[in-house]
Amino acid sequence: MNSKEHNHSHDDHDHDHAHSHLPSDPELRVKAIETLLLSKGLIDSATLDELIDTYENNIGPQNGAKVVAKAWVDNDYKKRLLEDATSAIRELSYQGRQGENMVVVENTPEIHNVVVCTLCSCYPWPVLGIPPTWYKSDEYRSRTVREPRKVLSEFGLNLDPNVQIKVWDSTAELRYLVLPMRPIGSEDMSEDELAKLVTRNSMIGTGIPEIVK
Amino acid sequence: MSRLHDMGGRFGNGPIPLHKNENNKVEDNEPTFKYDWHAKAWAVTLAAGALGQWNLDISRHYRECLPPKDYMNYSYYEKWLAALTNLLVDKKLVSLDEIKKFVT
Repeated sequence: MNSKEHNHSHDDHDHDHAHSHLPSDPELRVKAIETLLLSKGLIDSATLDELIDTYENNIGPQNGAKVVAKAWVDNDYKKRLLEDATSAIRELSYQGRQGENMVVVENTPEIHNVVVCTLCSCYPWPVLGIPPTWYKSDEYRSRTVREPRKVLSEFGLNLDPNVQIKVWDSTAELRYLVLPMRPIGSEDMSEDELAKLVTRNSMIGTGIPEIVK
Repeated sequence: MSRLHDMGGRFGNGPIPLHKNENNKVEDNEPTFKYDWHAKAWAVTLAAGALGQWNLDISRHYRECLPPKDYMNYSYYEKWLAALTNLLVDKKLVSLDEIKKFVT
């Protein structure tokens, strides 16, 4: 951070920041930076396409769902997952960027876990992909630690008052995945079928897996 | 005094911005990127990060150091883009004049 970044003494301080010189339309702003970096050879379009394609098609909540389903059918795996989530998740080849250190927290009849990032948008990318808009909203970030029960009810999740809610505030270094409870009625389902029940919100704690009838 | 980005427990925010379907159930199928420019802002930030001139903590710090007015008004990826722009200039990867050329 250079000194001019802290020169916030008057109303026109925005003009000290490079970003304030960009076009006002966000679409044009992205285009400006992208074009500039491409023309200088600092980035290349193939890399951009590959990154976007990977996160649109290969990395997302479908990965976390496989982790959860495996834990539901394999007790040894579940034990490893709760003891050392990073390694257990790596067994399924999910690892890397923004998931270097993982913790899995287990929902029980007595305890319901919910994950937030109050400071920004820390989220376990290898198992859940890119966070949804609401996760990054000021409303979710500010309210979840103060009134989690009310927040969950806005998601349509009305927990029994006797269930204790644990809120986990993610950091850049430590990212959480909720292991939801296996739904009643899923006893005869295969691991693949179970994985389909596991929603993104159920692994953040703002939902629970349900059998759609 | 806590800073603007440190909003855990803050009062005054309204309902979580959620989309509900016709049965009044919360939609859980948001695409990875809602708009093409979101995808581009995200990918350009990651690709520029791969130049090795800064780490995750520094890029986050730059987002947190945006002027409060911008931090409040910008959408998520606008914050990313503004912070990236300031980083690129501070690290001398691009110049302010080059940025100004794009102002319409």
